Amino acid sequence: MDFPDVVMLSIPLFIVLLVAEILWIRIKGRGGAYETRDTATSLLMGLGNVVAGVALGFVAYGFFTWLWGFRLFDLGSSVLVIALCFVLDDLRYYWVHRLGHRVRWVWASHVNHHSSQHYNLSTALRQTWTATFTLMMVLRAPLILFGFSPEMVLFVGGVNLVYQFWIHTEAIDKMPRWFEMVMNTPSHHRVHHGRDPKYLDTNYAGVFIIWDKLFGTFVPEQETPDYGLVQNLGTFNPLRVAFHEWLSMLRDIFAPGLTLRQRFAYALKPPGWSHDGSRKTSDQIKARNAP
Amino acid sequence: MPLWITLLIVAAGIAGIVALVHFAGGSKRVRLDSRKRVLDMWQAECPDHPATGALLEPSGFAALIELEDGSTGLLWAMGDRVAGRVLKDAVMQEDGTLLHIRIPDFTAPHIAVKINDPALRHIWVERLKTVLNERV
Ligand SMILES: [Zn+2]
Ligand SMILES: [Zn+2]
Repeated sequence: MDFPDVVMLSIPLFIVLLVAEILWIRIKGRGGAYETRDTATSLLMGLGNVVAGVALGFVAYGFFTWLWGFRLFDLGSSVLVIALCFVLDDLRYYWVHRLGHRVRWVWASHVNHHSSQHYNLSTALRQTWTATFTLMMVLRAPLILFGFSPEMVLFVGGVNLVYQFWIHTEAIDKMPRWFEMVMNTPSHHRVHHGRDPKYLDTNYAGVFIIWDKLFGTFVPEQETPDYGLVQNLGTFNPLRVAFHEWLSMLRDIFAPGLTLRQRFAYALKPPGWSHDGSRKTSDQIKARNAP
Repeated sequence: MPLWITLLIVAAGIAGIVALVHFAGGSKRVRLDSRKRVLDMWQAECPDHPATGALLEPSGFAALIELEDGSTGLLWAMGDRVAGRVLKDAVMQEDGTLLHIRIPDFTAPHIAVKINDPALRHIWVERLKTVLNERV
């Protein structure tokens, strides 16, 4: 069965909603803020993400089709199977995203999604260029080996990404109670983008917020988050935004005078870990700010 | 669709949205024009480096921050938000009324502060000299 490229098909919708949000904020004078260069950077990061997908997509796709040869079942592509695949893939997304915040090697790619100090629909498009290098496609292996076809797995992953577009907004305060309980919403995801100590490393959900509640990473929105990174960027240059954490990580890994264990730790421990304790991880920042 | 048409549409789309943001008031810059505000912003940006004082400049683009441990920080406008760094191993270059400050930091490589008043510029330069690695 052929699955459409939902992300590409959604781009016109993204643009319409983006323009609508810019105008809505301008007219109402509330519901978020857009900054010119920040928006330009977000859009260019989105463009670069698409280009990187075209250039490097074959790596993950090749891996998935190779795995498909070893599948246990072929579950076909009934609606029920697609729905099951979607839910299981959302669980996969939760863990990839959690690793994206807790392992510096993966954070090096994901950090740029958090690099804006703004939170609006353009922030949703601020996507990584280097996802392939994180090797996180291995977390999709169980789905494919179990019998969900690579095309279906990529399709539901695309739907997941498209869903996450609209939650990058301050224009919506809270959704109905039942919806906030089950689904990822603007309110939940605003918390995820906060640099406030209590908001760090929370609400990793893609579509269903239940994973965070299940695995203990859910934090409800109280005060409006302060968006961005623990140390905010002093540049709008997309190349610097895309590669800065890879560079700083490699510099740490290859710094003189470290043991092999310390070098691996710089790649695999959480962001902010250092061999001499000169920096702070999110856990340390949280501990210091605990009431 | 030929590639060049695709590229043209993408470029026009991005330029169009950015222009819309600009004309909707998105290019307004934050003004670092009160000591209290600057110190609050520094505290929010760099909570690990408590400040004792701030040296402003009239355009409100940047401020030098005196830190408790004797070192100096720089807070500057990133559009309507700010970024802050402790100045370590920085290099400064005077170019007419512009002070170019370069930090060995890939995420904040270059900040240019324009100070028209020569007396105030002199104060900035003297303050910066005390923390710079070398003066070019
Ligand atoms: Zn994240
Ligand atoms: Zn997000």
